[in-house]
Amino acid sequence: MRLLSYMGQWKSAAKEVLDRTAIVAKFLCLLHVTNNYLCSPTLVYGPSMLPTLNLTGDVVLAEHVSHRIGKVGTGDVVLVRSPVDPRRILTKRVVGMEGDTVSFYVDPMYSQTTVVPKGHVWIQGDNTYASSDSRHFGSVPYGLIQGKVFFRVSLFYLAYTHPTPPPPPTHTHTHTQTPSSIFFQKNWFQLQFQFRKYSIPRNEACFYFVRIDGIMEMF
Amino acid sequence: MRLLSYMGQWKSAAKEVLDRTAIVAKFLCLLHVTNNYLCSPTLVYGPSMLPTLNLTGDVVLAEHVSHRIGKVGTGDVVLVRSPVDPRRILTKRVVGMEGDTVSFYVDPMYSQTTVVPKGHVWIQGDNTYASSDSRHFGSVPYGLIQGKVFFRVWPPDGFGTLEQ
Repeated sequence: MRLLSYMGQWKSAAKEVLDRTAIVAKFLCLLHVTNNYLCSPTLVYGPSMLPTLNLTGDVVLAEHVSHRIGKVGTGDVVLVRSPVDPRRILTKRVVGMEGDTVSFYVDPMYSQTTVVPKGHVWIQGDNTYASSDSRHFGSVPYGLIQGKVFFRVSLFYLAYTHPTPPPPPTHTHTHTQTPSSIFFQKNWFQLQFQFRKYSIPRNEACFYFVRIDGIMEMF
Repeated sequence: MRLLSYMGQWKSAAKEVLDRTAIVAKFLCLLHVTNNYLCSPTLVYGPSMLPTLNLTGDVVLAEHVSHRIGKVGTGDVVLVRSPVDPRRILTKRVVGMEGDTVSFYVDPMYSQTTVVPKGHVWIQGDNTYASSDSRHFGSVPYGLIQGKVFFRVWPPDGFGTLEQ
């Protein structure tokens, strides 16, 4: 009799475990489909795309729709599966599409010109001095493109916003400064230093909240 | 009053429609995940793999596990995304892996030998007279391989594994 009651409890517990597992599995499926076919956050690192992308790592959003409908063109930053090591995914910029004529420097004295064959693209890193790209392994088939980078997530800088502007540094400061004003001044200088360290070209799709002379600018 | 009863019926009907649609969507998701990551039936046609595969079309089963774990080797029939047209998928046989030396006839008099570079494979159709393959567009990056063919389902007299 007790055995039957134990089996009944076990059955209901097993059913609940299966239901919970099914919910988790469905969520993971949805997350996976979204990552592969819509948009995915990716960590990219390395020196080959300086100054556009940082050396130590950037989290970027890459969309996986454009390359399937043929909307990848010159100037796009794309995620490409490496033709040399199929387990690595590179982040490079498309410099030439099929049919384009591409010139590049093999060494500082000698420049070479090639035509990109049909079904291929020519990719190059923005930092030409430290990038292994199409100049080394040739044109890359279009089918190896995995996605197009369109946005950079920089939550780090959002931590520096504050509703009240810091007092501007003037010569007529009193000797006694409250700790809070020192804190704001320190943050103000730190913010300036950080902004200069990672200088980003303006025409990129990324935004920061930056304080310049008390005006909050978003660009 | 009648409007409220209509709205009540419409709400329950809409809820049932949503439930059925959710079931169908989940099934399609499962089918899609299985097709892309486990095994998928594929219709292949063309003259380039005669006599292994028929001209008018075969339904084969292709598994999508081996190429992700690096288990694709010489002699396998694989589905490869074409390096010339990225919307087409070809069915060819892998004749050489990276580092192998491959000899092929450019024309009946002249034979050429190449070494397959790192990260690439050399694919050829079994019917060398009517196949555009690596002899024409060169080695193909391993990353373009989509799956490995291991079984034929249709036509019924060809049911079973493919011959080597």
